[in-house]
Amino acid sequence: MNWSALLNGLQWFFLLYFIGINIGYILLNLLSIRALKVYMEARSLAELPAYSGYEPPISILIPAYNEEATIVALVRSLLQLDYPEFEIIVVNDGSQDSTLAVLQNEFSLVLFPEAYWQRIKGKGVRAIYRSTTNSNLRVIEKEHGGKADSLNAGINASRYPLFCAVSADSILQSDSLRRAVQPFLDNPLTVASGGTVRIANDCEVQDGFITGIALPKSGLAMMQIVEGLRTFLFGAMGWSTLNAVLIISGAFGLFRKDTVIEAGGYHTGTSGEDMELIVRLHQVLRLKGTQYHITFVPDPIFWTKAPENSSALKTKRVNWQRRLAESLTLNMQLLFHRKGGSVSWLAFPFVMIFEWLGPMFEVMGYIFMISGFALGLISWQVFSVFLLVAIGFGMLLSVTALLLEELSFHIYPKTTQLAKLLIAVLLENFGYRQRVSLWRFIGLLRWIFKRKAQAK
Amino acid sequence: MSFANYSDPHLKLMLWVGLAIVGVTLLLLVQTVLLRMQLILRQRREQRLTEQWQPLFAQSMTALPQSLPPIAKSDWDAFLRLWNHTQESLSGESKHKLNQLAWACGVNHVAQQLLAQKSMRARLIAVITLGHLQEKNAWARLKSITDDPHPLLSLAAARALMQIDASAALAELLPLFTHRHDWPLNKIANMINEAGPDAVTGPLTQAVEIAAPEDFPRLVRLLGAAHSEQSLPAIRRILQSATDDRVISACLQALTDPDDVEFARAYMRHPSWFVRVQAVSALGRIGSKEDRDALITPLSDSVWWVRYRAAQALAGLPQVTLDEVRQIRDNIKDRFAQDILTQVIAEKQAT
Repeated sequence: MNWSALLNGLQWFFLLYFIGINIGYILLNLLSIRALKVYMEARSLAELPAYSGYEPPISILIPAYNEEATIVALVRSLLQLDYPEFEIIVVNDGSQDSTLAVLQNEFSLVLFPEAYWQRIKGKGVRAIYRSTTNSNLRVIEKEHGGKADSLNAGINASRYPLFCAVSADSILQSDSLRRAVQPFLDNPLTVASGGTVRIANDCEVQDGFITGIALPKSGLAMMQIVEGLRTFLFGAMGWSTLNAVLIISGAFGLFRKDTVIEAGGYHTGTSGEDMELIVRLHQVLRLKGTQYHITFVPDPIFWTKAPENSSALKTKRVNWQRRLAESLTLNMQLLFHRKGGSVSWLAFPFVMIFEWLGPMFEVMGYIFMISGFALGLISWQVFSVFLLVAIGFGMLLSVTALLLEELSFHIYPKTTQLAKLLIAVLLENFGYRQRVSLWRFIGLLRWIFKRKAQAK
Repeated sequence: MSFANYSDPHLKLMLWVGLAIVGVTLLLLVQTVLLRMQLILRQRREQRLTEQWQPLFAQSMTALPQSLPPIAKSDWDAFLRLWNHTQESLSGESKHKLNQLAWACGVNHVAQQLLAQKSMRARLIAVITLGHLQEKNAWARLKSITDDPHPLLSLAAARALMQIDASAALAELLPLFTHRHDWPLNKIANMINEAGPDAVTGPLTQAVEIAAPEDFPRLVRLLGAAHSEQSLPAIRRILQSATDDRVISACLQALTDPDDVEFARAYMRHPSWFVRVQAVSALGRIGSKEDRDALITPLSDSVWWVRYRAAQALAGLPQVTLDEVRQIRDNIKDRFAQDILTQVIAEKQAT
């Protein structure tokens, strides 16, 4: 075997891979710029009072498992949402702590003889409670079955045509529902919408709502802000223009109930039920030839606390990679399906190559180049060009994400905040991104070995 | 082993690509900073403008201010947004008074100029402004914009026409209401409500009379949105011959007169559950105590929503007490009917 040719081939492979992935993101970025421009123009009009009204009522579903510490505050804040008609359904998923008791005390729950309609099969519902202080609040007490099972129970009990799945650690904005429902008002074919997640560390929170926006003091959380801008402002936004969004955060998603029931509800056999549902909705609707839209709303819709230490962030990223792998592999039928359009031919392969398998290529690329250079197998010229391209593209993408933020929402109003963000978008590429790729690669390996173990 | 070096044209190309990326990144960094500076200046200007004009807007509600400050070209966008926001929050005579101030400022001329621009944002603001101003001279241009492929802009133009002259606008817009499926029905309904039942019921009723069957459902829903008793004769005529489930469902939803109770009764056993659910709901609205027994059968319907609406209708019938509903529940054998009645009784007790 000609080792020289192999080494030469590998160095070009990794170099071209890094160029390919980044060009893909830049194209996505161009789509986002255009879409965001149109969106912001429309947004200025949508804020006029006469262009609101007739919003459909929404059922907010909160799956809760051992959430005694946070559930009351979350429900209290949700009850104050600025939206004409909504109900809140907390699904207590057989919690071991006092989740039900704190809800009973705080909201004066009484047993309610509801004729529960089990459209999606799931674990047994033990009781349904209704609040005597807030008529739009109900609590379902059920056997433990996981988040997906709880959401399915919530869907079964919901009364309204749209439901919003909210995770118990989310911090919403008072106008979150109004923003998320807009695609349903603008386009009757909309079946799901999701929005941008923002980082709440060190922000002021009062009565469950963000009242003061600040940048986190933690460097790790700062990096996650930049990462979030990239993921949402040009990742999801770009795919949304092609009706090919594959990922809507599980912390907040708005769905047309009938469509989700038709697709079979949330998948209980995966930890990534939120991602999986979106991919399956695409699969079911595309393969049936149904016209539909899954829309990404670029507005900051909800906030969440980012991990401030490496081990917590590692766990999060490892899990994320596993969930992504499960979502894609459960819906492989969609890949290059003749009826799948932009999802089958663009988004699915892109996410598969660059998001699912990407961390493997990235980590191996770095290991190969660094070790090759250290061992004298790769010239310093190739190594420096590799670093220039890999890090240069990374910085370019992060800077364009920040530019998009500046063109649209500029939610960090102070000049000092912008300066800090500018520094973060540059520094993020020296260590942080590579570390995240490594953790995601670990997640990919764990998923592969877990599958093998299960197969045995 | 041969190393690739800068004499390799491919690697050289890669190097230039890398350097170009770094160059573009730096340029974008500078642009981000410039955008922020621009934003700060714009916000300051807008703040000043708001502080200057809001008192004048308030003053114009009683009398037009003696003198009005000039508006710089760069301030027009912010001024029009402020003026439109204020307009949207007003009603009746106050809107006319704010219009007088706008005429005195020359807003109509500026809006007409903006309408000719290519920018979608400028055209949107112009369309909304001309609608509030009820500027008849802009009629033809606004009408042409209703054909624009962008739904937001075309819908805004439709609303502007309705604000200028609802009856005349409806004659032009009705075909678009039925054919432009990218115009959300709820937004059209909003416009129809804004214009008021007197202006819209006649033209809508006429349109329904001559509409093609495929346009019926949309038009009937709009007719229902007008909330006018004048539309009831047309709805009755449609119901007498309708076969489309969506049309029947929309018509049943619009029934408000107890004289039409026979329609509701007739559709209680319709094969489509969409129709059945509207029929039992209509019976709940316009039925009487004699419909009590008719509502017992749908309590055992295979669809939850039909059972639920039937139970609500039963419990809401005039002269039917909660004790009677309890009695019905206790005597009924079907478990689904019992469960749904138990739920509705609990709901009634809670309210």
